[in-house]
Amino acid sequence: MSDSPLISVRNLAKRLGGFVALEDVSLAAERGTIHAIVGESGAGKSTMARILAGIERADSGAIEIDGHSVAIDSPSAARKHGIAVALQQSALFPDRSVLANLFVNREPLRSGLVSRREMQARSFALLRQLGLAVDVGAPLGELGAAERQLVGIARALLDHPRLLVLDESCEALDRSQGDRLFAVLRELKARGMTMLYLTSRLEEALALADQVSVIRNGRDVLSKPRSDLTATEEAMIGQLGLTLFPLPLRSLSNVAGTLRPQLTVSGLSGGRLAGVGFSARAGEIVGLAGLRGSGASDLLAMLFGQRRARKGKVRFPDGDGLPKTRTEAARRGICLISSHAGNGVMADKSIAFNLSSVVLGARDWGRRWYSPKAAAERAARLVEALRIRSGSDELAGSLSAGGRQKVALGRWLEIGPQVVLLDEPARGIDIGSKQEIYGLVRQMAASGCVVLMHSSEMSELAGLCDRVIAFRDGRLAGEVAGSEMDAATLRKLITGDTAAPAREPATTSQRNAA
Amino acid sequence: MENHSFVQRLIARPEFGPLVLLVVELVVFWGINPDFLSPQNISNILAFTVELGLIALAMTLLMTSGEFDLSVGSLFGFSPVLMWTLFNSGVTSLEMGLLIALIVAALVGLVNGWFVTQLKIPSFLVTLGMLLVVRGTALFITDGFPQRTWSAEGSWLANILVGDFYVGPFRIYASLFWFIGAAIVLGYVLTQSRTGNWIQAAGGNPNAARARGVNVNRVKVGLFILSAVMASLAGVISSLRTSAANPNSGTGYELEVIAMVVIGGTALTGGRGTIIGTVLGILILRVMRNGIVLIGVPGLAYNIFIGAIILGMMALHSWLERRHQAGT
Repeated sequence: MSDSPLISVRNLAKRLGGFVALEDVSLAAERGTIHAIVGESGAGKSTMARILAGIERADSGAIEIDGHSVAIDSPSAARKHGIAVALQQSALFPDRSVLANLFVNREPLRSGLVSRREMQARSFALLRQLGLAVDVGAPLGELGAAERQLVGIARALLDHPRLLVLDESCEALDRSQGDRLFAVLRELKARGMTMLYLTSRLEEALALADQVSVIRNGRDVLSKPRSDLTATEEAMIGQLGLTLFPLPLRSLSNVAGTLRPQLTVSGLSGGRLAGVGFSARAGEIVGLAGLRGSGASDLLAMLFGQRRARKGKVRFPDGDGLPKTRTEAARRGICLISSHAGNGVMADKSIAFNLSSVVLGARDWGRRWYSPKAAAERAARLVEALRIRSGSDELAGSLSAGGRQKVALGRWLEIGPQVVLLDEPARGIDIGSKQEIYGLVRQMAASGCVVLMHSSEMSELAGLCDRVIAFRDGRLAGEVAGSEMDAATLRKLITGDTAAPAREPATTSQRNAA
Repeated sequence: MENHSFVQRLIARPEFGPLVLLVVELVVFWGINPDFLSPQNISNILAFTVELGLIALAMTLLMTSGEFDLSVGSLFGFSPVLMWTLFNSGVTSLEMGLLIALIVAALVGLVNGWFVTQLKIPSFLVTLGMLLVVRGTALFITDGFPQRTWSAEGSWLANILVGDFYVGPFRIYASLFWFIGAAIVLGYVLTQSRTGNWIQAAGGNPNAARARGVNVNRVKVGLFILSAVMASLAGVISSLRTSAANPNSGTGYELEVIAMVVIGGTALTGGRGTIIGTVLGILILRVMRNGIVLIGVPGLAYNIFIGAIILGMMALHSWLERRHQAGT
């Protein structure tokens, strides 16, 4: 066996449209080790995973395996080099059975026909090890998010790769599933498999990895063996994220303390939500923490009139109850900005047209018609304010994900919203845009809006919100504010762990959110 | 895992709806007019059913991969015209004419596939254009008149494709066996072979399929060729059976074939397909056409019923889907 690392990448760069996903990343993984790559979402992790999987090609840079430069120009080339990648969930086939998903394009044949029995035999032990007790004949779409994620990981493992790349593999898993997965990964490591573990959660990296690298904005900023990481460095990595968040604009939120609650929700049920009550004041940002399926998204959809509530009472700042339709919501100054596909931005219309869309639809006063001149003025103003780096007559589709999200947010500014509902507003976008969106959210709160923000990134909630309400299985699981509001506490609340988290090493507990 | 009873699993299958519909149809028509199930009528239904059916089988695979082909109806008319024209002008033998017709059809499929996969034009537009090109060519080379056909009875080609014989009181054409054979082979290909898994993966989530190394484009081009060749073969079979080669024949078949496939439970958006369902869908529509006439409804009202069936089946599908999602 040679001394060269199993895989090393040098100066990897990749542009996606106008957006630099990877600028200059170099790292190397030694044989039989787990190398964690930590970075906020949007830092370039998934792009790297896709390059290693052969789905995308790097614009420049080199990949070496066993010291030899290789070109990974197709998924089959990646496979030939012994690389398997567990991508995020979109890489699966919801209509097809679990077994079919596990063996896509690797189906074992018996006398020319696909052998279901052989597939079952090959996957049985692995599925049990991962704790995946599901009907393997059932369509994948019927499974929960955690189970789907495990299917994706199992599929990569079935290739018996030399290098396994895992992209946010714990995202949808609860504690016990995560621990189980880690046990499997450690066992594979002991048997000589090399792993790249891409994650946005530092504590996962610290618990699992032998080597930790940090990437930010498409660059690697630090790479050290786990054992050499000093407590200060750990704290530093942990706080990298905090510089993202602008300082709270305290002026108004202090005053707001004396005002009466403005949005009150009591006993609200519907979707997965059961009997939820809380209130939120103008001028504060209230975080809604919760895993996918915890009901936090459903709550926002109900407040926006997108989903029916079964029962419960809601009183908005304007004194009325739940809006019946989205149009009504918009007309009453209630807005929802989500990261879901499309998020209402029309990709094949100009930025100016998009920025005017809410004003025209929501305002039931003034001029009803689309006036190109008014739209242009409005757009010029907003493009400036939002720092969108394209002309307002370019198509919205030409913007990066971050730019599009800024347009989605900016549309609402024109109607002076009273209640701002945010559903993962900064998911999957680059750091620069994230920072600007956080700034906009702060501004909206400071100008007297009630802001509710749901996110599955606990550090984002801890960094941006004044207080956070945690949801678990459709119910309230607690509320934290002030100094006790940090990512680890929140994660405990939403997953329902009462014991001290075993995956979090003792050294990190001294870290607290500033 | 195995706690579902046989009945429950039968009901859960996507083919269950079409099966019930077919049985209801048969019972109703037979109740109103007992002649409906007479040997002569059954033979009648089967003769033409299998010709359209061949196209529908290939279309099932194509639609499972997420594309469809509107040019099959015009190929159905064009191929026999080409074959007879070559034969009548003395250029080739009948067999050679058939071979050339099939090759030309394969090329048409190749062009369809190339436009769709390389130029990324939706198959609706590509095959709509091809429909007009092929139909136009058929009309042009024949001046719009039916081709003179020589009664092909007795030639070995006619015997293999449409030779008829009696099984008891039933008059059976050889094409029935071609259809059954194609249904079995394509059914196995779709559900049991690696190619079938490629097809379903390509239709279900093309990007994920590419990420797993499936050559999605090659799969689609192959299926466009298959569908074109099957349409051409069906046209030739039909022309030999009826001793006619009309450049206008096959008009509107593309939509009827797509309706058969969709009624059978194949998703119009791709990813899910069933050959058994398609066979049921073929029978549902052909039995409907025949039965309506037999029970005294004017034949021209046929389309009303087809439309109603399609709407009803789609409503059922979407209802099941929504109930399904609410349950999870």
